Amino acid sequence: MYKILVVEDSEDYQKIITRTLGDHQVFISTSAEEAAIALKNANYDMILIDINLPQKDGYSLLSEMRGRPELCDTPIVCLTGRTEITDKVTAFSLGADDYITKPFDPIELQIRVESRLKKTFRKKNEDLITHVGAIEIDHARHRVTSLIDNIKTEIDVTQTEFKLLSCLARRPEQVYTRGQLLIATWGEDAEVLDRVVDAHICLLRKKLGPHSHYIKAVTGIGYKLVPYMKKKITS
Amino acid sequence: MSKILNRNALKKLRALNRSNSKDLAVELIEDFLVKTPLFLLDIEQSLKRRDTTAVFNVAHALKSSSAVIGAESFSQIAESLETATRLGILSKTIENYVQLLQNFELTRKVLVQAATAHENMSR
Repeated sequence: MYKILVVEDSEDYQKIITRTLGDHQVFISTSAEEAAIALKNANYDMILIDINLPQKDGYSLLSEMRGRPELCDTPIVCLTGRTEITDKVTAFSLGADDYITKPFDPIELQIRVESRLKKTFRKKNEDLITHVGAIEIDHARHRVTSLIDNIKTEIDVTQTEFKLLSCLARRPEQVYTRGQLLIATWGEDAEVLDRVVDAHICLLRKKLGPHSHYIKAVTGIGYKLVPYMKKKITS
Repeated sequence: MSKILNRNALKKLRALNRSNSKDLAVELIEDFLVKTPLFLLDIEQSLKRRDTTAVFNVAHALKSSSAVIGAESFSQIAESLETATRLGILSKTIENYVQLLQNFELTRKVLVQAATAHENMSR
C-alpha cells in the first residue's frame, strides 16, 4: 500500500480517484496551497496533479515540486481535461512522469499508477547503493566507502555530510543551489545560513581525500558532483 | 453525432463499487443534476458581465463532470463552449450556451432514468 497525494478540486474526480486507487492510501488536496501544506507535513510515494486548479495552477505546482530535491524521485502524474499537445509538452518539460486526460477509464488510471509505482520502487531498491566514481554510498546503512587500488576504505562522515553527499549524488553533474542543499539536509524550516553549506562541503571534501575533486563549486550558485578521474597532464 | 448517454461509462463506474458504499454512478449523476443548473446560471451571469475567464472555467468543469457519467452530447457542447470562449468568439459562445441549456433538459431525463435503473440493480 502506497501513499498517494491527489491535488484535485473536482469532487467528482476526487470520488472516482479515491475509489479507483482504493488499494492505496489516498490523500486529497483541493488546491496548490493545500498541497504545499500536505507536502510539508508528510512524504508521499506518488503525486497526481490536476492542471486546472483554483488560483495557482497545476503547472506552477509541478514546477515548484520539481525544484525540491526531496521530491525529485517522486513520480508525478498530471490528470487533466486539457488535451492539446502544447499542454502535454509543457507538463513533460516541467518534469511530469505521465499525463492522463480526463475523462479517463478508471482501469487505465489504475494500471498506469500501479506500473509507475512498480518502476519507481524497483529503481529505488536498486538505488539503495549508489556508485559515483570510486565512491560507494550505501543509503540503507548510511555508509560511504571509497575504492582505491581495489581496496575498500570506509569514510567516516557525519549525518549532515552524508545527506549532502547523497543529495549531490542523486543527479551527478546537476548543479544544486545552496538553498536546495539546505532544504535536503536540514529541512525547509531550518534557520541555517547558506554559508553553513560551504563549511560542511569543505569538511566533506577533506574526508573524501583523493576524491575531493568530485565536488565542484559553481560560482554564485552552489555545487555539483562530477565523479570522474582527474585528467593527467602529459607533457 | 454523439449519444445523450453512453451507458458504458456508467458500467465502468459501477465496477468501482465496493460493498457498503453508495453506487458511485448514482452518486455522480445526483451531483451532476444538482450542480449543473447552478453552473448554467453562473455562465449566464458571467456572459452578462462579459467575464470570459469565468465562462471558460465553468465550461471546462461541465465538460469533465458530464463526460465522467457518459453524458456525451452535453460534454461535447460544453467543450465547444470552452473552445469558443478561449477563442473569444462571442456569438458562438452564446449559441453554445443556448444549446447547452436545451441539451441539459434531455440529458437530465435520461440520467434520472439511468440512476433509477442503477439503484434497482443495486438492490
